[in-house]
Amino acid sequence: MTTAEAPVTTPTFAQPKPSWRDRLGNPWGRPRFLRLTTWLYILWSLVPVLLAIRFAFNSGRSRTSLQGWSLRWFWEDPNLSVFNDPTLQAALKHSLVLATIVMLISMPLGTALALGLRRWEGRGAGPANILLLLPLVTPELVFAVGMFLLFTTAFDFIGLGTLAHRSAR
Amino acid sequence: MRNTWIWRTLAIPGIAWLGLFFVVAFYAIVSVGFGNVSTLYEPLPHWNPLDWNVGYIWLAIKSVVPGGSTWDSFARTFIYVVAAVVLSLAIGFPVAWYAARHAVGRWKGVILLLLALPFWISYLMRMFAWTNLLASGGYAARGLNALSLDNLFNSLGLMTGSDWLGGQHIAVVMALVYGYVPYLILPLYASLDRIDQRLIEAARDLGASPAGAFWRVVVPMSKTGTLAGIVLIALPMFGDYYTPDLISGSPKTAMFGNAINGYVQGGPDKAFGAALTLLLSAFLLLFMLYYLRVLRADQREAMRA
Repeated sequence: MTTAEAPVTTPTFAQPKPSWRDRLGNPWGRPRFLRLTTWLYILWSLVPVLLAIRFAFNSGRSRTSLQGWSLRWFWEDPNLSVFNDPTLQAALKHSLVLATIVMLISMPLGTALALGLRRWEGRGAGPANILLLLPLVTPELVFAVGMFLLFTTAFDFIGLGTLAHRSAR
Repeated sequence: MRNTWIWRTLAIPGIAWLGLFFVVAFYAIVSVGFGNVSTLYEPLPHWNPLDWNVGYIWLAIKSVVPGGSTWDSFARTFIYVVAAVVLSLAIGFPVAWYAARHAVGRWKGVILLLLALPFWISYLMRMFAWTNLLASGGYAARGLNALSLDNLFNSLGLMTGSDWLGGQHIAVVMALVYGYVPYLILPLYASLDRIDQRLIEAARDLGASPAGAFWRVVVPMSKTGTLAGIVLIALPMFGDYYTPDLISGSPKTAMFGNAINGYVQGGPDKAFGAALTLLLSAFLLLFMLYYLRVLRADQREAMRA
């Protein structure tokens, strides 16, 4: 109290230059290494796809080098473009139709299931929860083999051809 | 909740759908695997358990043990998955840690968006993007060869020749990492984000070194999330066949899924394929049960909090 007038001195701890270990681990420090890793990862995860999109606008046939911009593969080419090739058009239509149907079925079904399971307590809720999680941790292949065998052996009146099966994936 | 019947009624259509297309479909695998084949090699499922025929299961078991016909692809799959999971963790953990702990303000939202972006791009599209880049003359192939990484991997015995799409183990493992690491990062982020910053500060105040605080606070607290994330990417990888198909297409890199796919779709022996699928499921069941247990414990904890 008597030393109120004393000049304020900063504590004189030695401030060593932070070592690389501090930089890596210190939760208060500036994590340059982590930031670099993160941004490199983000670039790595997205640039290939951006380049693939760029190749769709290539004017040449190559998929490995850039050959100028064009809309050739969309509609300008009379035979090979998506707009002029009947097989590609059919495939595109299939995808859109299937995606729409899947969305229309799974959205109400999934929303109702999520709402229901969140609130439903009592008998049956536990097994229902496990049933919901099982498809998440089952490899797609097991799922797909099951459906394929189900449709080709038990429901074979549906007549799911091999072609339809192949284009589904 | 008093009128619980409302919620049960809401859940029933979804449960019925899953019951039909998951449980019954799985039973179809069982019936075909324990079934027989007609004279035209068409599968004859035995739906009644009393009629089960263990012949195909026995053949499948003999084929996955060392010396059997699918042993090579099974062992290869296991090595690929372990390598891909380790690499995914090495990439994913720092990224998730940075996003959860160090990214602040507007940048945090941007980074989370960019991390979630691969979810909205089809897996096949992402693989095809790499086939463009890794084809001979492609940008990635030229860059990797300019750094003479092909020579490095050749001398390490991980690669033969310099064609990255010509059946290279390293290319398939990298493609698996590329494909699945986003699915690891988000659960990791969720579990790291939940750790209270004050606990790390307390550990540091009480004298723990940065590494000590990490090992004794962060690692135990994120253990369940990390393990769940590993299971979440490892299980689909065990059933993967399209990644090696697209990135190499060579039998040298065929995975267990390729064997199953070959028997079920193309080959005459669908019953054998079904038996292999059953063996794979049995092998993965251990991981699945563990995951379900971790998740349920987590949920219970979350409900209590």
